[in-house]
Amino acid sequence: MIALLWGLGIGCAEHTPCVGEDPQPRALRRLTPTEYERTVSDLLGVDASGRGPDVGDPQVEGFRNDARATTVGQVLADRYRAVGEALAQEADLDPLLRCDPRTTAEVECATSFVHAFGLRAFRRPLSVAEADRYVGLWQEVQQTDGFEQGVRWVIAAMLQSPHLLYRSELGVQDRRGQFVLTDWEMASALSYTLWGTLPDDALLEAAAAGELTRTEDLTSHIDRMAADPRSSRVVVDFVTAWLDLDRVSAVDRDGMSAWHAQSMRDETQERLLTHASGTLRELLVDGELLTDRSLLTVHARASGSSPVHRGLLVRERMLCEEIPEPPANIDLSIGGVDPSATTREQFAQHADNPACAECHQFLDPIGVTFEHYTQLGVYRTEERGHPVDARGELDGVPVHGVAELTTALLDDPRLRTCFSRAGRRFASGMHACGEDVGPDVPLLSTLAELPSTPGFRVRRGDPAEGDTLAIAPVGE
Amino acid sequence: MRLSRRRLLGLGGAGLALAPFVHRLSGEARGSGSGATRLVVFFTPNGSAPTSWRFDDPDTLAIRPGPGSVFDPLRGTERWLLPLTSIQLDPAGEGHAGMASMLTAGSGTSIDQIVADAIGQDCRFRSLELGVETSTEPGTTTTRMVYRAGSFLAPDDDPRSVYRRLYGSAEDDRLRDRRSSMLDIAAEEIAELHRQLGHEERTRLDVHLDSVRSIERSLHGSDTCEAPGQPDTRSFPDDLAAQVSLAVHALACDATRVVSLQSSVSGSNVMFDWLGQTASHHGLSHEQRPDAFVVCQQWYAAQFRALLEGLIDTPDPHTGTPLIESTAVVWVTEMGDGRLHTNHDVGWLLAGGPFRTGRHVDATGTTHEQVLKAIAGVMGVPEPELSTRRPAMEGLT
Repeated sequence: MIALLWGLGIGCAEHTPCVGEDPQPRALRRLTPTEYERTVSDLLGVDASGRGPDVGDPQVEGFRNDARATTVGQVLADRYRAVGEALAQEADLDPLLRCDPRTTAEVECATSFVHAFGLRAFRRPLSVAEADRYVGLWQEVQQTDGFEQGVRWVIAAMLQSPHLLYRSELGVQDRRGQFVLTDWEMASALSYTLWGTLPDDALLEAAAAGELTRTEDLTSHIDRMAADPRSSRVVVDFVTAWLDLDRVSAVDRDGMSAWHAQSMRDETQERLLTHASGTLRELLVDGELLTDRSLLTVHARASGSSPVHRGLLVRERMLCEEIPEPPANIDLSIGGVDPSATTREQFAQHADNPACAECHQFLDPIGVTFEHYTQLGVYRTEERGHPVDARGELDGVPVHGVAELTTALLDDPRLRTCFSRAGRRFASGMHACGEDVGPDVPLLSTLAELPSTPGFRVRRGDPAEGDTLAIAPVGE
Repeated sequence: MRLSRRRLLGLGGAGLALAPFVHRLSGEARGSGSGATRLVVFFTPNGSAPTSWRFDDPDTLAIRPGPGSVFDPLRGTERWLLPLTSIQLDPAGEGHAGMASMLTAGSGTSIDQIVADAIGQDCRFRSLELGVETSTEPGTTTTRMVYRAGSFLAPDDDPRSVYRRLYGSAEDDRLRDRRSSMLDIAAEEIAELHRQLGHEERTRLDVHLDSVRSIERSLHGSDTCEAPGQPDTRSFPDDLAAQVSLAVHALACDATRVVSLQSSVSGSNVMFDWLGQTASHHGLSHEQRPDAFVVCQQWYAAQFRALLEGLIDTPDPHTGTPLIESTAVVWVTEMGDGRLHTNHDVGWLLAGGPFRTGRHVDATGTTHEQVLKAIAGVMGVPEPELSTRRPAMEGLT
C-alpha cells in the first residue's frame, strides 16, 4: 500500500496519454453549468447567473468538467429545455434584432436574425441548411403567434442546440490524416479557456479573417484577453474546482445555516478574485488561502474539525497523491474515546493502531496543523478547555500551524507540479501531467498556456476512425 | 389500454374506499407472487444498524416493536413486507463504492433499467429517476446507483421539475407542438454532429439523442389522469415526501412503470436537524449511537411507509385493484453494518403483491446479484445478464 501511495504521485506512471506531454485528442466538450450561464447571459444580454442547469456531473480525477464524461441525460436535457424557453421569453429582443420588422419584410428580418444570432450562439457561421431549419421554425410559429414569438422560439431552439451546448474541438482532417482546429474553434477555445464564455466580436472577426492561425495574432489576442478582468473569473473557477471550495453550499455542518454558506461562498470568491491576477505564492501567502472558511468547512466533519479530511485535501488535491479508501469491514468510529478530549487526542488512536497508521501516518500529521480552525473555519485557541496544539509535520519536516504549512508547501516541488497538472486538467478537461512551475507562477498562465502551445491546434483522432471523417464542418 | 380521466377517477372512488380497508384488516400474507407490472426502487444510504434489523422468529415475520427497531414505523404493514437479511454484496466495491454495484452487480447497467427496457417502453417515461439531494454531490461510484452501459443516469432532485416533466405540457396543444418542433431540430443537429465524430464521442451523443427523443415522447399522451397539486417546498423532508407522492401518482397514471428514488448518496452528509441531530447521517452511521442513527433510519422507514400507503390507497388504472398488488417495491442500501462499512450482512426490504410477503427470509449465502436476478425474474425478465452465472435467488414468490 505504501508503494501504491508514492508510485501514483507525480507525473504519469501509466500509459494514459496526458495533456502537457502528449498531443490532445479531438473533443466535443459540453459546457459546464457556469460556462452555460455566462454564455447565455452574454448571448441574450440577461443575467442568467444561478440558472445554469446542474444535475451533478461526473467527477473525474477531482474535476467535474471532464471532456469525455459529461453527457446530456434526460433530466439535464429537460432542464436545458425549460431554462431555454424561459430565457427566450425574458430576453429584450430590440438589441438582438438588427432590423425593424415594420419597415423590412418580416421574413428577411427573421432570416438575418437567425444568421447573426446563430453566429454567436454556435460560435461559427450557420450553414444554409441550418439557417433554413430555424427560419422554418420561425415561420411555423409566426403564422399563429406573430413575428416576435417566432423569434423567441428560434432563440429557445438554439439554446437546445448541440452546437451551443458543446464546445467543438473536433477540427478538420488534413491530407496527413490529422485533425486541425478551425479558426472558429480556436476563437472558441481561447474565449472559454481565458474568459469562460463565448468569443467577443473581436475574436469572431479575427476568426472570420483567418487570423487565429498566425502565431503573432494568437499571442496578441491572448495578451488582450489575459489583461481583461474576465480572465480573473476563470482563475476563480479553477481554484474553486481544484480545492473543491464550492461544495460549501452542499455540506451540512453543525452550527451552519444557508446564510452562513452563502457568506462563506461570497467571502471565498472575493478572496480569490483579489488574488486572481497574482501568483501561486501570492494566493497562498497574501491570500492566506489555507485559512479560507469555505476550504476549512468543506474539508471537515459535520460535527468538528478533521485532521483526516484536511490531510486528504493536502495529499490528494495539493500534492496530487492518491490515498486509498479505508478498507471495508473495519470499525471507523471514533466513539468510545474521551468526549472531553481534543480532536487531536481523539484522532491519536489512528497512530496507535497499526492497521490505521498504515495510511493515517500520511494524513493526520498534516491535518493537525489546521487544528486552530473549527468545522466552520472559526479560529480557536482552545478546544474543550485545552489549548489547541497545531504542531504537525509534512513528510518528516516539522510544521506548526497553517502559516508554516503554507511555506513548506510552496517549497515543495510536488505542490508546484500538482498545481500545473490541475491547471492543465481544468483547462483541457482531460488527464494531464504537470511540471514544476515554481512558486511564483502567475495563476492564469497555467490555463492560458495550453491554447498558446503550437501543438494545441493539431488533434489526434480515434485510431479506429480511419479516413472516413474527411467531412468539412458546416460553416467552413 | 388508455383509460379516460372520468373512468380512472370513477375507479378511484370505489377502489379507494374498499381495498385498503380489507387488506389492512386481513391478517394473512397478501403477496401472491405473480402479476408484477411495476417496479419501485427506494434507496437510503449508509447501511443499517444490525441490531435494529433483527428478527426473533425466522419463519414468521416478527417485527420487534419498540425504539430499537427500524421496523417500528412499519407496524401494521407487515403483510406487505418481505425483509431479506444477511445478503452478501458481491461483486461490490469496498465500503461506499458498493453504491455503484448495488443495482448493477458490476455489470454497467442497473436492474431497474434492465426491467424498464422490458416493461417500460410503451409509457411516456421508460423509467423515472427521482432523487433528494443527490446532485449536490458530484457523480462518482459512491454517489450514483442507476446506470446504463456504464454511465449513470442523474436523478431529478427537484420535485417541481418532476412535476413539470410529468404534467407541464398536458393542457396546451400549441405549446406541445412548439416544443416538438424545437426538439426535432435539436435531434436532427445531434444526428448530424454524430456523423462527424469518432467512436468514443458517438456514445455520448447517443445518450443526448436518446434524452431529446425521450422528452419528445413524454410530451404526448399525458391525458390519463389529472395533475395533482404542485409541489413547492425546498427542504429534505418535504422534497422526499413530494417525490414519494409524485412517484405514486406517475405509476397510477401509467406515465411510467419503473421508478427509482434515491435519498442522498452513500456517505450522506445530510444532517437530520429536523429531528434535532447535530452530526451528519454518515457520522452517526459510524458512531451508531442507538438514539441517533436508528432514529434517522426509522424516519426513512416512515417515508417508506408513506410510499407503501400511497400504493395501497391508489388503484391500478387497468384493474382497479390497489397498485401495491402489482408493484414490486425494493428498499435497498449499499452496505451492511454502517459502522463497519461491511459488504456482508446487508438488509434489503422487499414489499408488494408480487412477492410472497408477510415473512422474513435469511439470505445468508446469497449474493445481491442473485437477489437482483430474482427481482428481474419477478418482473418478467428471467435471466438478466449481470456479472456472473450465479442463479437467481429462489423462494421470493
